Amino acid sequence: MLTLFLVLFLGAAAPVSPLAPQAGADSAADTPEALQQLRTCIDANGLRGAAACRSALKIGVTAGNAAEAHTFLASQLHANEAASEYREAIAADPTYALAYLRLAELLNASGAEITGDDKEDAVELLQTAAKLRPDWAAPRRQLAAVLWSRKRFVDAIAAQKDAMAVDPEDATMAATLKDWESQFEDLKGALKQWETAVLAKSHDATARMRYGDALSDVGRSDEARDVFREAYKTDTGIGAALGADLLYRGYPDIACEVLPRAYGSAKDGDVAAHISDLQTCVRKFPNDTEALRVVADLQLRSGDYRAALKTFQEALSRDSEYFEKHPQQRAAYDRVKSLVKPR
Amino acid sequence: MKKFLLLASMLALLTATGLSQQKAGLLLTTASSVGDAQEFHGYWIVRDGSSVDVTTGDRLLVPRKSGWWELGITQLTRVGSQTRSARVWAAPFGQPRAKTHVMPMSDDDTCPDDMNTYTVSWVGTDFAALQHDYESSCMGRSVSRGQSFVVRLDDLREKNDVNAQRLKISELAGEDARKAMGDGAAAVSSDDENEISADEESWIVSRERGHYRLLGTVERDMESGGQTYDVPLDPPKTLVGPDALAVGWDAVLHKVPDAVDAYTSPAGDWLVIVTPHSLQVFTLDQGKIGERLKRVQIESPAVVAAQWALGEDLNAWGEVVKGAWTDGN
Repeated sequence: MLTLFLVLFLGAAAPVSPLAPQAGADSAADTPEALQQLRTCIDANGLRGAAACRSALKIGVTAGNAAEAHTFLASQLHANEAASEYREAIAADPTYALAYLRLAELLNASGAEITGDDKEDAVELLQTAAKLRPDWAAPRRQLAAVLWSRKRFVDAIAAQKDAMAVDPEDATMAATLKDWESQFEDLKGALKQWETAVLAKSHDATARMRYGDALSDVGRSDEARDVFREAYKTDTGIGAALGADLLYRGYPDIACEVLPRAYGSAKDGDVAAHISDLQTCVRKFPNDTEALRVVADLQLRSGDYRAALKTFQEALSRDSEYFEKHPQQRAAYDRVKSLVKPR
Repeated sequence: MKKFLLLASMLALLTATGLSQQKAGLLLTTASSVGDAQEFHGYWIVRDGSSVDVTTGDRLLVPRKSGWWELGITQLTRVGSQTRSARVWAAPFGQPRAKTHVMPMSDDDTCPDDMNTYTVSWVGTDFAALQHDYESSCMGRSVSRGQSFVVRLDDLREKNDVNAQRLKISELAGEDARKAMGDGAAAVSSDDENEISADEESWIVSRERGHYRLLGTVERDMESGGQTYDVPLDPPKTLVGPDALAVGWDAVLHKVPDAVDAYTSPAGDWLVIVTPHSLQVFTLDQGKIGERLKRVQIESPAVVAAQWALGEDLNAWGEVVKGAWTDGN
């Protein structure tokens, strides 16, 4: 009996039992076998962990535990496979904060490698994780870093302050905040300089662009938007540079107004890059077929008739009156249809 | 019966109190890279009730059965060359090697700009995992190579890092490890287009989710970036020491979502969580993580060594560690 007591007490120092309920594990509704697999899924590294996650999901577990199994499985996978598991975790339990946090980390780390959901944004994922777990500094700190990298400096500083309120002892965050505030002061100085330059040279489109950048840098994005539009009106020749710059900097609306015209009339440049930018516009604004029209034109010009035919078909599927709006392309469409043989 | 139960309960209570009141200390060393050189950062963490004391230093100390040892890096420079190489050494504590060494110019040496660097990725009480990187563009021929392997600390002292015998995984972790290594390589080969073959001498010990793990390694060369793959087998105690984590990894992440590693005290009553920028010490009560007792900023989260001290060892370790770090710093 005494030995039993000692064993029980010494057992407290032993590893967690596979069946011991942990945070998030809804042990009541799941089978012991599923819970055992889930325990291994969570605690074991490598192949054994991944196999146990798959096994737990195959046996079937309640929503919260499924979210855990998908999340821990994802941590053993790479890129798109991992992203897909994190999405499954969120679908299984939209209140499971860790999946949002990890998916955001993956998007930040892997960027364009991750495909599947264009509307997925690290900022929103981190904001959701932060809302779900007000006691976590990590999503707020990462949100601040993402916002800073996107030049949303005012928002980044506010997010960093939020993170520091959760974990005031984090000296690294405090040092970063100090550095950001100093850089932000410099940006405000630059804004004053460009403001003065535009007042002095109202016809200078490049100066306006830089003034717009400076406004954007300090978080005054609505004013920046107006200034970017004024810059383009001042000189439409800056369209390609302005649009390509703004497309990935939080101003896709202006970029996608400007780029079809700019790339459509460009005599040189990287056609593949132009098509890629325009296809980004197509994904961001699916009802606007202007970008598709220019993509088809560029593909025709480079002799890629098969791709052009596909683009025309996509345009038609989005807007059945496409050729009424762009009658000059109907003849080209008929011609590529006759040239391209089905595979 | 009642009397017996009362006695048993009292004994159990005494045992539990004894364990939980037993002071423990964790000697943790992380490594960072500054340019081509590796630097060690040591943390001696001692909990006494609600107080946690952390002493820091920059020498990698290893408590062994035969006494204290030290692992270090000597940076090599060559007269007339800008290239820096690095060598790993191990020796009983008190016999440190030089931090830098300048090699004289030699007529025999036709490739003075070759870079030949050894770094440490894990150290146990008897073994260490090393990484060897070699870069050369001598005589118009470019060579870039990286290999990882495990050696005995004694061998590292007697034969040095270049000549130390690379140990087979089956030698230290048994026949099952050799088979598991083959399984791990086969699993990667079936997923990737490139087939990899398990090499018994190419493996390392690594930390993840609060546990040690075995990884097979593939040599890096000019054509391929090299890689690691899972060896699905728990490392034996004889290799890595105790490897229990008295709390689930989900509970660790529930508390600190950016945790990369964690260590629980032998009595399971406190926990050290490693994050990218900090060590955080928490109370632990029957597998439940309690309040944070301490937070320390760290240079790097890459833990290369971790050992617990208990009871009488605690003060003795404290004296050695503090003495070494004061002397050496």
